[in-house]
Amino acid sequence: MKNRVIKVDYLARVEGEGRLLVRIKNDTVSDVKFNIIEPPRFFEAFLRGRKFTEAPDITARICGICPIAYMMSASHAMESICGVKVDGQLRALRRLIYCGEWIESHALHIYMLHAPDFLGYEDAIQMAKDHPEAVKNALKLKKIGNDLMILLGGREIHPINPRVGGFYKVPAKKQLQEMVEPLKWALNMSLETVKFAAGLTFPELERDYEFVSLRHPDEYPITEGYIVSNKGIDIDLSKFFDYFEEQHVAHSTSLHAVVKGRDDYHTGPLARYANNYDKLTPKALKAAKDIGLPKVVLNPFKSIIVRAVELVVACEEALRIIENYEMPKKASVEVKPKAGVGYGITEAPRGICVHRYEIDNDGIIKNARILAPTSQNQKAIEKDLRKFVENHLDLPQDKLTWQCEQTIRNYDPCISCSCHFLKLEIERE
Amino acid sequence: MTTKNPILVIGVGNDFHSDDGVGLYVAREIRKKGLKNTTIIEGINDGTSMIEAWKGISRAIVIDCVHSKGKSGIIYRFDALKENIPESYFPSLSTHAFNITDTIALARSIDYLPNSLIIYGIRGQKFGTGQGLTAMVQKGADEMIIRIVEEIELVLAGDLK
Repeated sequence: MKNRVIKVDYLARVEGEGRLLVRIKNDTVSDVKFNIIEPPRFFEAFLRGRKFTEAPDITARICGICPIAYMMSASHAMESICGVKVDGQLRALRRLIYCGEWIESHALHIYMLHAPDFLGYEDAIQMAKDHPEAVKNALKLKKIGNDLMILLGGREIHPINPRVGGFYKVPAKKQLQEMVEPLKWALNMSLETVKFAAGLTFPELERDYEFVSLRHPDEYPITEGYIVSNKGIDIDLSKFFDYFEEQHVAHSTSLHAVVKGRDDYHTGPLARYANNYDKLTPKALKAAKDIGLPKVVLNPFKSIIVRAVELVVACEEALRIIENYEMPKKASVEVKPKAGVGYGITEAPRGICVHRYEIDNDGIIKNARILAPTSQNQKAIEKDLRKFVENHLDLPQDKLTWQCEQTIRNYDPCISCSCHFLKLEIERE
Repeated sequence: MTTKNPILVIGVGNDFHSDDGVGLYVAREIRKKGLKNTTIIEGINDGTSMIEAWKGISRAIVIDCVHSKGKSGIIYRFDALKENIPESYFPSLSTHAFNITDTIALARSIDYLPNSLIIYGIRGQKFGTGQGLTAMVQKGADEMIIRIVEEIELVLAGDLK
């Protein structure tokens, strides 16, 4: 068949509402539209006029899976405007709660959302019948991440304890030590997860991505760093919009982000890993080497392996932070408002979460701009789909449709975040 | 999230989507009764966390708003271990989190269901943004609180398995 339409009106196992349409005409892909149809959420508009201290709590509501990313990016931006640096144990606690978010998010995606694609199951419920231990371990891993978030954030969804300047309350050393044994189990299970992911069979697809991530001189980037790409970008956070821009596209309620003067870019685990291979934690590095994972992974389907390596990073880091923890005397640093513009960019599980704010001398937010990882990855997702379909035109319709969905799930897209559900159509005319 | 109490009541929903907050309202009101051997949790909207919360529990009661056509405020009670629950009654707003029927199916696959799992639902009317329950849902919620408290007291007294 030379002409066909592949159409999925409801893409499962992604967060939010979206749709995909692929038109194939004379065995050539004529159109690919990754449509984000979730209503715009206007967070940037209703942040205006609110106090600078409210931004972490308000933006946490953008996402139930990665609220810490929003809280931390907002807090860092405000602190940067006000000339405050949160350091020492408070900084370590921020990294620790973020590790909790990486663990719960990556465990959920690897086992419950993405693994069924590779193992040929419709969903995790079907997979659980044949692989109950994998699902049980995933639930336990996720719970350990959630428990870290509850311990430091007060609750797992939309935590209430982090604030501009640090936290409202900090845990005693004994409270954190109760997480050591569960985290040791999680670390071992993460290492097993790397082997599990490496043993999967991957569809063929490689692209010459521009990988954009944070980089930090001393650590695998999670909460802090500067912006780098494998194609020469090396900039302070404040220069972000000098190098990147958002473009409106008619078929999506989410803006597409591009590198100015170039094109799409890729953010998330593959980008972090490629740009920070030398900063992997010891066990994560060994795990990557043991399975022969190259320093740069260009097949987006293999992001499941890199997420597993990052699970190891998050568990190792959490254990290291707890081992070195001493309860700080103060739970937060005082932050007095002053007029200015500031940026906060942190590494959400799905990629960089960019916040820019302008506040006045009273700490009232005058302008806010937020780029969610999925909105940044939209164009890369469309390009992946185009190349994948072009290279796999011989696949039967149902398999091609399935693998198009899988191509999107490589990015663990959080469409609710980016709107600012997913429906898939492949048309062959 | 784990508890040593044998009875667990979980309120599900969103306070900021009108009647969708009814599960949370009922859970809070039951907490005020101070029932012994009973833990009240509100705000679990993620199926995987709910399965973890069920571990080691004798009887779990989940309260959620039902989305179906008909008169609002109607109360439903399903014994999840004995009967099928209409999936359309408990749609998930997110496909990332599991809805109640998926959560039960997943827990059943890995033998993580509690010894008893009762799902209470109340048919909502308004699900748009906003706070507070509509009148008929409020009336149904108050009746549901009485019924669930009676059920827990019967279980605690050994008169109901």
